[in-house]
Amino acid sequence: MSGGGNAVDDGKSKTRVRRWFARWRRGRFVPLPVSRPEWFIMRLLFAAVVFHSFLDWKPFTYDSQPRPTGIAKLLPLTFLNHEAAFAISKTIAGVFLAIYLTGFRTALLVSLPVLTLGSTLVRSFANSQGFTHHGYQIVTLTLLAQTAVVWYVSIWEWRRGERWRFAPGVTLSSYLAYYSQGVILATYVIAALTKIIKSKGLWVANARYICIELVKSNRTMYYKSLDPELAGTPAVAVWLLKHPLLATVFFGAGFLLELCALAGLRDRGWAFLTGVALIVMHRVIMLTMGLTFHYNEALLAIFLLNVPFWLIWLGTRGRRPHQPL
Amino acid sequence: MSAAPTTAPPPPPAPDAGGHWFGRLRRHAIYPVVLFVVASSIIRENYPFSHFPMYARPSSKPLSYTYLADGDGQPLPLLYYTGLTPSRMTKKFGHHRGKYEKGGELGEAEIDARSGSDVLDYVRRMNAKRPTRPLPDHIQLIKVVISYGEGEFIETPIAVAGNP
Repeated sequence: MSGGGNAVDDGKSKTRVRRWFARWRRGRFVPLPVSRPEWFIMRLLFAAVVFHSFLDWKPFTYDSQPRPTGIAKLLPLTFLNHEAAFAISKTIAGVFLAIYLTGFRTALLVSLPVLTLGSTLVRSFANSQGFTHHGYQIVTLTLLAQTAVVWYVSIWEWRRGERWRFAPGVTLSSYLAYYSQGVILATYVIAALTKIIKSKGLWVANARYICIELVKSNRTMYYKSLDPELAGTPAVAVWLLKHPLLATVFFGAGFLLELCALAGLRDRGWAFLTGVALIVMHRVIMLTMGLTFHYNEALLAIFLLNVPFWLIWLGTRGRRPHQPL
Repeated sequence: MSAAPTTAPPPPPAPDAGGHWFGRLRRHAIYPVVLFVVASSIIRENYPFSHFPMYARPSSKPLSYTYLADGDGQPLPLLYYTGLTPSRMTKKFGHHRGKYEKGGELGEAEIDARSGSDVLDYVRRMNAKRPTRPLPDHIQLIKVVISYGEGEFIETPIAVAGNP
Protein backbone atom coordinates (compact mmCIF):
# COMPACT_ATOMS: atom_id res chain seq x y z
CA MET A 1 0.00 0.00 0.00
CA SER A 2 1.21 3.51 -0.66
CA GLY A 3 -0.21 6.98 -0.86
CA GLY A 4 -0.28 8.11 2.75
CA GLY A 5 3.46 7.65 3.34
CA ASN A 6 4.35 9.20 -0.02
CA ALA A 7 2.05 12.15 0.62
CA VAL A 8 3.79 12.81 3.93
CA ASP A 9 7.24 12.59 2.29
CA ASP A 10 6.13 14.92 -0.50
CA GLY A 11 4.79 17.34 2.09
CA LYS A 12 8.08 17.27 4.02
CA SER A 13 10.06 17.85 0.81
CA LYS A 14 7.89 20.83 -0.13
CA THR A 15 8.28 22.29 3.35
CA ARG A 16 12.06 21.82 3.18
CA VAL A 17 12.16 23.56 -0.19
CA ARG A 18 9.97 26.40 1.07
CA ARG A 19 12.15 26.82 4.15
CA TRP A 20 15.33 26.81 2.07
CA PHE A 21 13.86 29.38 -0.31
CA ALA A 22 12.70 31.59 2.58
CA ARG A 23 16.20 31.46 4.12
CA TRP A 24 17.80 32.12 0.76
CA ARG A 25 15.82 35.27 0.09
CA ARG A 26 15.34 36.65 3.62
CA GLY A 27 16.88 40.09 4.00
CA ARG A 28 18.26 39.98 0.46
CA PHE A 29 17.22 41.45 -2.89
CA VAL A 30 17.58 44.97 -1.51
CA PRO A 31 19.76 47.94 -2.55
CA LEU A 32 23.27 47.61 -1.13
CA PRO A 33 25.74 50.32 -0.13
CA VAL A 34 27.62 51.60 -3.15
CA SER A 35 30.85 53.52 -2.68
CA ARG A 36 31.49 56.80 -4.50
CA PRO A 37 34.33 55.43 -6.69
CA GLU A 38 32.23 52.40 -7.58
CA TRP A 39 29.19 54.46 -8.57
CA PHE A 40 31.34 56.94 -10.48
CA ILE A 41 32.89 54.12 -12.54
CA MET A 42 29.44 52.65 -13.23
CA ARG A 43 28.19 56.07 -14.30
CA LEU A 44 31.20 56.69 -16.49
CA LEU A 45 30.98 53.37 -18.28
CA PHE A 46 27.21 53.66 -18.65
CA ALA A 47 27.59 57.16 -20.08
CA ALA A 48 30.07 55.79 -22.64
CA VAL A 49 27.56 53.11 -23.67
CA VAL A 50 24.72 55.64 -23.91
CA PHE A 51 26.83 58.00 -26.01
CA HIS A 52 27.79 55.13 -28.30
CA SER A 53 24.10 54.36 -28.81
CA PHE A 54 23.59 57.93 -30.02
CA LEU A 55 26.27 57.51 -32.69
CA ASP A 56 24.04 55.35 -34.92
CA TRP A 57 23.20 57.57 -37.91
CA LYS A 58 20.86 55.12 -39.67
CA PRO A 59 17.59 56.25 -38.05
CA PHE A 60 18.20 59.77 -39.37
CA THR A 61 18.22 58.50 -42.97
CA TYR A 62 14.63 57.28 -42.88
CA ASP A 63 12.15 59.74 -44.37
CA SER A 64 8.90 58.24 -43.17
CA GLN A 65 7.42 56.07 -40.44
CA PRO A 66 5.27 53.51 -42.28
CA ARG A 67 4.64 51.49 -39.13
CA PRO A 68 4.66 53.83 -36.14
CA THR A 69 5.44 52.36 -32.75
CA GLY A 70 5.39 53.82 -29.25
CA ILE A 71 5.63 57.59 -29.18
CA ALA A 72 5.68 57.68 -33.00
CA LYS A 73 1.97 56.79 -32.91
CA LEU A 74 1.26 60.10 -31.16
CA LEU A 75 3.91 62.32 -32.66
CA PRO A 76 5.35 62.13 -36.20
CA LEU A 77 9.09 61.71 -35.79
CA THR A 78 10.01 62.44 -39.39
CA PHE A 79 11.62 65.69 -38.20
CA LEU A 80 14.57 63.45 -37.29
CA ASN A 81 15.20 63.13 -41.03
CA HIS A 82 16.47 66.71 -41.08
CA GLU A 83 20.11 67.00 -42.17
CA ALA A 84 21.15 68.60 -38.88
CA ALA A 85 19.20 66.22 -36.66
CA PHE A 86 21.99 63.66 -36.20
CA ALA A 87 24.56 66.28 -35.22
CA ILE A 88 22.10 67.95 -32.84
CA SER A 89 21.20 64.62 -31.27
CA LYS A 90 24.84 63.70 -30.67
CA THR A 91 25.59 67.12 -29.22
CA ILE A 92 22.64 67.06 -26.85
CA ALA A 93 23.58 63.54 -25.75
CA GLY A 94 27.18 64.59 -25.12
CA VAL A 95 26.25 67.67 -23.14
CA PHE A 96 23.68 65.96 -20.95
CA LEU A 97 25.89 62.94 -20.36
CA ALA A 98 28.57 65.29 -19.08
CA ILE A 99 25.96 66.74 -16.71
CA TYR A 100 24.91 63.22 -15.72
CA LEU A 101 28.51 62.35 -14.88
CA THR A 102 28.71 65.01 -12.20
CA GLY A 103 26.36 62.84 -10.14
CA PHE A 104 24.66 65.70 -8.33
CA ARG A 105 20.94 65.26 -7.66
CA THR A 106 19.92 68.27 -9.73
CA ALA A 107 22.16 67.14 -12.57
CA LEU A 108 20.50 63.72 -12.57
CA LEU A 109 17.01 65.25 -12.39
CA VAL A 110 17.72 67.30 -15.50
CA SER A 111 19.94 65.02 -17.58
CA LEU A 112 18.21 61.66 -17.19
CA PRO A 113 14.80 62.65 -18.59
CA VAL A 114 16.43 64.40 -21.54
CA LEU A 115 18.63 61.40 -22.35
CA THR A 116 15.70 59.00 -21.93
CA LEU A 117 13.48 61.08 -24.18
CA GLY A 118 16.21 61.48 -26.81
CA SER A 119 16.92 57.76 -26.87
CA THR A 120 13.20 56.97 -27.04
CA LEU A 121 12.53 59.35 -29.93
CA VAL A 122 15.42 58.13 -32.07
CA ARG A 123 14.88 54.43 -31.47
CA SER A 124 11.08 54.67 -31.79
CA PHE A 125 11.59 56.25 -35.20
CA ALA A 126 14.06 53.49 -36.14
CA ASN A 127 11.55 50.84 -35.06
CA SER A 128 8.74 52.51 -37.02
CA GLN A 129 10.09 51.40 -40.42
CA GLY A 130 8.38 48.00 -40.49
CA PHE A 131 11.24 46.09 -38.88
CA THR A 132 11.82 46.00 -35.15
CA HIS A 133 15.27 45.90 -33.61
CA HIS A 134 15.63 45.06 -29.92
CA GLY A 135 19.33 45.81 -29.52
CA TYR A 136 18.94 49.29 -28.04
CA GLN A 137 16.01 48.67 -25.72
CA ILE A 138 18.17 47.90 -22.74
CA VAL A 139 19.98 51.24 -22.92
CA THR A 140 16.77 53.26 -23.00
CA LEU A 141 15.16 51.15 -20.29
CA THR A 142 18.14 51.63 -17.97
CA LEU A 143 17.94 55.38 -18.54
CA LEU A 144 14.21 55.21 -17.83
CA ALA A 145 14.75 53.23 -14.62
CA GLN A 146 17.29 55.73 -13.32
CA THR A 147 14.99 58.61 -14.27
CA ALA A 148 12.10 57.00 -12.40
CA VAL A 149 14.22 56.43 -9.27
CA VAL A 150 15.63 59.93 -9.00
CA TRP A 151 12.31 61.61 -9.76
CA TYR A 152 10.32 59.34 -7.42
CA VAL A 153 12.62 60.04 -4.49
CA SER A 154 12.74 63.76 -5.26
CA ILE A 155 8.95 64.11 -5.58
CA TRP A 156 8.48 62.11 -2.37
CA GLU A 157 10.87 64.46 -0.54
CA TRP A 158 9.23 67.54 -2.00
CA ARG A 159 5.73 66.43 -1.00
CA ARG A 160 6.71 65.34 2.52
CA GLY A 161 9.10 68.23 3.11
CA GLU A 162 11.77 65.91 4.45
CA ARG A 163 14.66 63.82 3.20
CA TRP A 164 14.14 60.21 2.20
CA ARG A 165 15.55 58.02 4.95
CA PHE A 166 17.78 55.38 3.46
CA ALA A 167 18.85 52.29 5.35
CA PRO A 168 22.31 52.57 7.00
CA GLY A 169 25.03 52.83 4.37
CA VAL A 170 22.53 53.01 1.54
CA THR A 171 22.24 56.12 -0.64
CA LEU A 172 20.38 57.24 -3.74
CA SER A 173 23.26 55.73 -5.75
CA SER A 174 22.42 52.34 -4.24
CA TYR A 175 18.88 52.62 -5.54
CA LEU A 176 20.06 53.79 -8.96
CA ALA A 177 22.43 50.82 -9.22
CA TYR A 178 19.83 48.37 -7.90
CA TYR A 179 17.07 49.39 -10.28
CA SER A 180 19.49 49.52 -13.20
CA GLN A 181 20.32 45.90 -12.42
CA GLY A 182 16.63 45.19 -11.94
CA VAL A 183 15.49 46.51 -15.29
CA ILE A 184 18.34 44.75 -17.11
CA LEU A 185 17.52 41.40 -15.53
CA ALA A 186 13.78 41.96 -15.94
CA THR A 187 14.15 42.06 -19.75
CA TYR A 188 15.29 38.45 -19.66
CA VAL A 189 12.41 37.40 -17.43
CA ILE A 190 9.98 39.13 -19.81
CA ALA A 191 11.49 37.21 -22.74
CA ALA A 192 11.09 33.93 -20.86
CA LEU A 193 7.46 34.69 -19.93
CA THR A 194 6.69 35.58 -23.55
CA LYS A 195 8.15 32.22 -24.60
CA ILE A 196 5.86 30.45 -22.16
CA ILE A 197 2.79 32.41 -23.28
CA LYS A 198 3.37 32.25 -27.04
CA SER A 199 4.29 28.57 -27.06
CA LYS A 200 1.47 27.70 -24.63
CA GLY A 201 3.98 26.23 -22.23
CA LEU A 202 5.67 24.07 -24.85
CA TRP A 203 8.76 26.17 -25.54
CA VAL A 204 11.28 23.77 -24.01
CA ALA A 205 9.63 20.77 -25.68
CA ASN A 206 9.77 22.57 -29.05
CA ALA A 207 13.21 24.09 -28.55
CA ARG A 208 14.74 21.38 -30.77
CA TYR A 209 13.15 23.16 -33.76
CA ILE A 210 15.26 26.25 -33.16
CA CYS A 211 17.90 24.64 -35.38
CA ILE A 212 15.91 25.86 -38.38
CA GLU A 213 16.19 29.41 -36.98
CA LEU A 214 19.98 28.98 -37.05
CA VAL A 215 19.76 28.24 -40.77
CA LYS A 216 17.56 31.25 -41.37
CA SER A 217 19.92 33.51 -39.38
CA ASN A 218 22.88 32.19 -41.34
CA ARG A 219 21.16 32.81 -44.66
CA THR A 220 20.12 36.36 -43.80
CA MET A 221 23.69 37.10 -42.75
CA TYR A 222 25.02 35.61 -46.00
CA TYR A 223 22.70 37.59 -48.25
CA LYS A 224 23.62 40.82 -46.42
CA SER A 225 27.00 41.04 -48.18
CA LEU A 226 27.34 37.64 -49.91
CA ASP A 227 30.28 36.75 -47.66
CA PRO A 228 31.59 33.40 -49.02
CA GLU A 229 32.56 32.33 -45.49
CA LEU A 230 28.88 32.24 -44.61
CA ALA A 231 27.82 30.15 -47.59
CA GLY A 232 26.55 26.66 -46.83
CA THR A 233 24.49 25.27 -43.98
CA PRO A 234 25.93 25.81 -40.46
CA ALA A 235 27.24 22.54 -39.08
CA VAL A 236 25.81 23.28 -35.63
CA ALA A 237 22.28 23.51 -37.12
CA VAL A 238 22.62 20.09 -38.73
CA TRP A 239 24.08 18.67 -35.52
CA LEU A 240 21.15 20.01 -33.47
CA LEU A 241 18.70 18.61 -36.04
CA LYS A 242 20.25 15.16 -35.60
CA HIS A 243 20.44 15.41 -31.79
CA PRO A 244 17.04 16.77 -30.71
CA LEU A 245 17.39 15.71 -27.06
CA LEU A 246 20.68 17.57 -26.64
CA ALA A 247 19.16 20.55 -28.42
CA THR A 248 16.33 20.55 -25.89
CA VAL A 249 18.78 20.44 -22.97
CA PHE A 250 20.94 23.15 -24.49
CA PHE A 251 18.15 25.63 -25.21
CA GLY A 252 16.24 24.65 -22.08
CA ALA A 253 19.22 25.74 -19.98
CA GLY A 254 19.15 29.16 -21.64
CA PHE A 255 15.43 29.44 -21.06
CA LEU A 256 15.81 28.58 -17.36
CA LEU A 257 18.57 31.15 -17.02
CA GLU A 258 16.29 33.83 -18.50
CA LEU A 259 13.35 32.84 -16.30
CA CYS A 260 15.44 32.97 -13.10
CA ALA A 261 17.46 36.05 -14.05
CA LEU A 262 16.11 38.09 -11.13
CA ALA A 263 18.23 35.90 -8.85
CA GLY A 264 20.97 38.33 -9.81
CA LEU A 265 19.35 40.90 -7.54
CA ARG A 266 19.96 38.83 -4.42
CA ASP A 267 23.43 40.18 -3.71
CA ARG A 268 26.69 41.05 -5.41
CA GLY A 269 27.84 37.45 -5.68
CA TRP A 270 24.65 36.37 -7.42
CA ALA A 271 24.78 39.48 -9.60
CA PHE A 272 28.26 38.51 -10.73
CA LEU A 273 27.34 34.90 -11.46
CA THR A 274 24.10 35.81 -13.25
CA GLY A 275 25.93 38.44 -15.27
CA VAL A 276 28.59 35.97 -16.34
CA ALA A 277 25.99 33.35 -17.26
CA LEU A 278 23.98 35.82 -19.36
CA ILE A 279 27.08 37.09 -21.15
CA VAL A 280 28.09 33.50 -21.93
CA MET A 281 24.57 32.92 -23.26
CA HIS A 282 24.89 35.94 -25.55
CA ARG A 283 28.29 34.77 -26.77
CA VAL A 284 26.90 31.32 -27.59
CA ILE A 285 23.98 32.93 -29.44
CA MET A 286 26.45 35.08 -31.36
CA LEU A 287 28.53 32.03 -32.36
CA THR A 288 25.58 29.84 -33.35
CA MET A 289 23.10 32.35 -34.75
CA GLY A 290 25.23 35.37 -35.60
CA LEU A 291 23.02 37.62 -33.47
CA THR A 292 24.81 40.27 -31.43
CA PHE A 293 23.51 42.13 -28.40
CA HIS A 294 26.52 44.28 -27.60
CA TYR A 295 24.61 46.74 -25.44
CA ASN A 296 23.14 43.95 -23.33
CA GLU A 297 26.58 42.51 -22.74
CA ALA A 298 28.05 45.91 -21.94
CA LEU A 299 25.38 46.76 -19.37
CA LEU A 300 25.61 43.29 -17.83
CA ALA A 301 29.36 43.82 -17.45
CA ILE A 302 28.91 47.29 -15.93
CA PHE A 303 26.03 46.70 -13.51
CA LEU A 304 26.14 42.95 -12.82
CA LEU A 305 29.75 41.86 -13.11
CA ASN A 306 30.85 45.21 -11.67
CA VAL A 307 34.55 44.37 -11.86
CA PRO A 308 35.64 47.72 -10.32
CA PHE A 309 33.74 46.85 -7.13
CA TRP A 310 35.52 43.48 -6.82
CA LEU A 311 38.92 45.09 -7.38
CA ILE A 312 38.20 47.71 -4.71
CA TRP A 313 36.79 45.06 -2.39
CA LEU A 314 39.82 42.80 -2.76
CA GLY A 315 42.18 45.74 -2.33
CA THR A 316 40.59 47.07 0.86
CA ARG A 317 39.45 43.90 2.57
CA GLY A 318 42.17 43.75 5.18
CA ARG A 319 42.34 47.45 5.88
CA ARG A 320 38.79 48.43 6.73
CA PRO A 321 35.38 46.81 7.17
CA HIS A 322 34.41 45.83 3.69
CA GLN A 323 31.03 46.36 2.17
CA PRO A 324 28.40 43.67 2.55
CA LEU A 325 28.08 41.50 -0.49
CA MET B 1 10.42 51.18 -3.20
CA SER B 2 9.17 51.96 0.27
CA ALA B 3 10.28 54.87 2.45
CA ALA B 4 11.49 54.63 6.03
CA PRO B 5 8.87 55.80 8.57
CA THR B 6 8.68 59.52 9.23
CA THR B 7 8.59 59.23 13.04
CA ALA B 8 11.34 58.02 15.38
CA PRO B 9 11.76 54.29 16.18
CA PRO B 10 10.48 51.65 15.69
CA PRO B 11 12.04 51.11 12.23
CA PRO B 12 9.86 49.77 9.43
CA PRO B 13 9.20 46.05 9.44
CA ALA B 14 11.59 43.92 7.42
CA PRO B 15 10.15 43.49 3.92
CA ASP B 16 9.59 39.81 4.40
CA ALA B 17 8.25 39.94 7.96
CA GLY B 18 4.71 38.58 8.55
CA GLY B 19 1.51 39.34 6.68
CA HIS B 20 0.08 38.29 3.34
CA TRP B 21 2.69 37.55 0.69
CA PHE B 22 1.40 40.25 -1.66
CA GLY B 23 1.54 42.83 1.10
CA ARG B 24 5.13 41.81 1.82
CA LEU B 25 5.97 41.99 -1.89
CA ARG B 26 4.45 45.48 -2.19
CA ARG B 27 6.67 46.74 0.63
CA HIS B 28 9.76 45.14 -0.86
CA ALA B 29 12.33 46.97 -3.00
CA ILE B 30 11.88 44.42 -5.80
CA TYR B 31 8.20 45.30 -6.27
CA PRO B 32 8.75 47.97 -8.99
CA VAL B 33 10.84 45.44 -10.94
CA VAL B 34 8.01 42.91 -10.79
CA LEU B 35 5.55 45.62 -11.87
CA PHE B 36 7.82 46.46 -14.79
CA VAL B 37 7.86 42.79 -15.90
CA VAL B 38 4.06 42.66 -15.85
CA ALA B 39 3.64 46.07 -17.50
CA SER B 40 6.08 45.30 -20.32
CA SER B 41 4.34 42.02 -21.04
CA ILE B 42 1.07 43.93 -21.40
CA ILE B 43 2.37 47.03 -23.22
CA ARG B 44 4.26 44.79 -25.65
CA GLU B 45 5.94 46.40 -28.67
CA ASN B 46 5.87 50.12 -27.87
CA TYR B 47 9.39 51.43 -27.54
CA PRO B 48 11.10 51.36 -25.11
CA PHE B 49 8.80 48.64 -23.81
CA SER B 50 8.73 45.25 -25.43
CA HIS B 51 7.67 41.72 -24.63
CA PHE B 52 10.76 40.46 -26.52
CA PRO B 53 9.00 37.88 -28.68
CA MET B 54 12.12 36.72 -30.54
CA TYR B 55 12.21 32.95 -31.05
CA ALA B 56 9.23 32.60 -28.73
CA ARG B 57 7.36 30.06 -30.83
CA PRO B 58 9.68 27.39 -32.25
CA SER B 59 7.77 24.84 -34.26
CA SER B 60 8.19 22.19 -36.91
CA LYS B 61 6.52 24.50 -39.47
CA PRO B 62 8.68 25.83 -42.33
CA LEU B 63 10.29 29.24 -42.00
CA SER B 64 10.97 31.76 -44.75
CA TYR B 65 13.31 34.62 -45.48
CA THR B 66 13.84 36.94 -48.43
CA TYR B 67 16.81 38.20 -50.39
CA LEU B 68 17.36 40.60 -53.26
CA ALA B 69 18.34 39.32 -56.71
CA ASP B 70 18.91 40.78 -60.16
CA GLY B 71 16.82 40.00 -63.23
CA ASP B 72 18.68 36.70 -63.75
CA GLY B 73 18.07 35.59 -60.17
CA GLN B 74 21.65 36.23 -59.03
CA PRO B 75 21.72 37.44 -55.40
CA LEU B 76 22.69 41.06 -54.76
CA PRO B 77 24.49 42.31 -51.60
CA LEU B 78 21.56 44.13 -50.02
CA LEU B 79 23.55 46.07 -47.42
CA TYR B 80 25.84 47.55 -50.07
CA TYR B 81 22.99 48.83 -52.20
CA THR B 82 20.50 49.93 -49.56
CA GLY B 83 21.94 49.91 -46.01
CA LEU B 84 19.27 47.33 -45.16
CA THR B 85 19.82 43.77 -43.99
CA PRO B 86 17.89 40.76 -45.32
CA SER B 87 16.56 40.29 -41.79
CA ARG B 88 14.98 43.75 -41.82
CA MET B 89 13.74 43.31 -45.36
CA THR B 90 12.12 39.99 -44.38
CA LYS B 91 10.44 41.64 -41.39
CA LYS B 92 9.17 44.40 -43.64
CA PHE B 93 7.86 41.79 -46.07
CA GLY B 94 6.10 40.11 -43.15
CA HIS B 95 4.50 43.38 -42.01
CA HIS B 96 3.17 44.10 -45.52
CA ARG B 97 1.83 40.55 -45.76
CA GLY B 98 0.02 41.06 -42.48
CA LYS B 99 -1.60 44.19 -43.88
CA TYR B 100 -2.87 42.39 -47.00
CA GLU B 101 -3.96 39.31 -45.07
CA LYS B 102 -6.30 41.40 -42.95
CA GLY B 103 -8.40 42.12 -46.03
CA GLY B 104 -9.11 38.39 -46.28
CA GLU B 105 -9.83 38.52 -50.02
CA LEU B 106 -6.48 37.76 -51.60
CA GLY B 107 -4.82 34.40 -52.14
CA GLU B 108 -1.38 33.62 -50.73
CA ALA B 109 0.40 34.12 -54.04
CA GLU B 110 -1.27 37.52 -54.56
CA ILE B 111 -0.43 38.59 -51.01
CA ASP B 112 3.20 37.62 -51.59
CA ALA B 113 3.26 39.48 -54.91
CA ARG B 114 1.82 42.71 -53.53
CA SER B 115 3.95 42.61 -50.39
CA GLY B 116 7.03 41.88 -52.47
CA SER B 117 6.23 44.78 -54.77
CA ASP B 118 5.89 47.14 -51.81
CA VAL B 119 9.20 45.95 -50.41
CA LEU B 120 10.98 46.42 -53.74
CA ASP B 121 9.60 49.97 -53.95
CA TYR B 122 11.10 50.59 -50.51
CA VAL B 123 14.39 49.04 -51.63
CA ARG B 124 14.49 51.39 -54.64
CA ARG B 125 13.84 54.39 -52.37
CA MET B 126 16.65 53.36 -50.03
CA ASN B 127 18.96 52.82 -53.02
CA ALA B 128 18.12 56.28 -54.33
CA LYS B 129 20.01 57.65 -51.31
CA ARG B 130 23.14 55.91 -52.60
CA PRO B 131 23.53 57.41 -56.10
CA THR B 132 27.03 55.97 -56.52
CA ARG B 133 25.68 52.43 -56.09
CA PRO B 134 22.82 52.08 -58.53
CA LEU B 135 20.84 48.87 -58.54
CA PRO B 136 20.44 46.89 -61.77
CA ASP B 137 17.55 47.96 -63.98
CA HIS B 138 15.56 44.88 -63.01
CA ILE B 139 15.50 43.46 -59.49
CA GLN B 140 13.55 40.64 -57.89
CA LEU B 141 12.53 39.70 -54.39
CA ILE B 142 13.21 36.02 -53.74
CA LYS B 143 11.40 34.29 -50.89
CA VAL B 144 13.01 31.08 -49.64
CA VAL B 145 11.03 28.55 -47.60
CA ILE B 146 13.13 26.35 -45.27
CA SER B 147 11.62 23.06 -44.16
CA TYR B 148 12.81 19.85 -42.52
CA GLY B 149 13.97 16.86 -44.50
CA GLU B 150 15.54 13.56 -43.40
CA GLY B 151 18.52 14.78 -41.37
CA GLU B 152 18.76 17.89 -43.55
CA PHE B 153 17.08 21.17 -44.35
CA ILE B 154 15.23 21.74 -47.62
CA GLU B 155 15.19 25.24 -49.13
CA THR B 156 12.73 26.24 -51.85
CA PRO B 157 13.29 29.66 -53.49
CA ILE B 158 10.37 31.49 -55.13
CA ALA B 159 10.56 34.81 -57.02
CA VAL B 160 7.58 36.68 -55.52
CA ALA B 161 7.93 40.11 -57.13
CA GLY B 162 9.97 42.07 -59.68
CA ASN B 163 10.77 45.77 -60.14
CA PRO B 164 9.94 46.92 -62.71
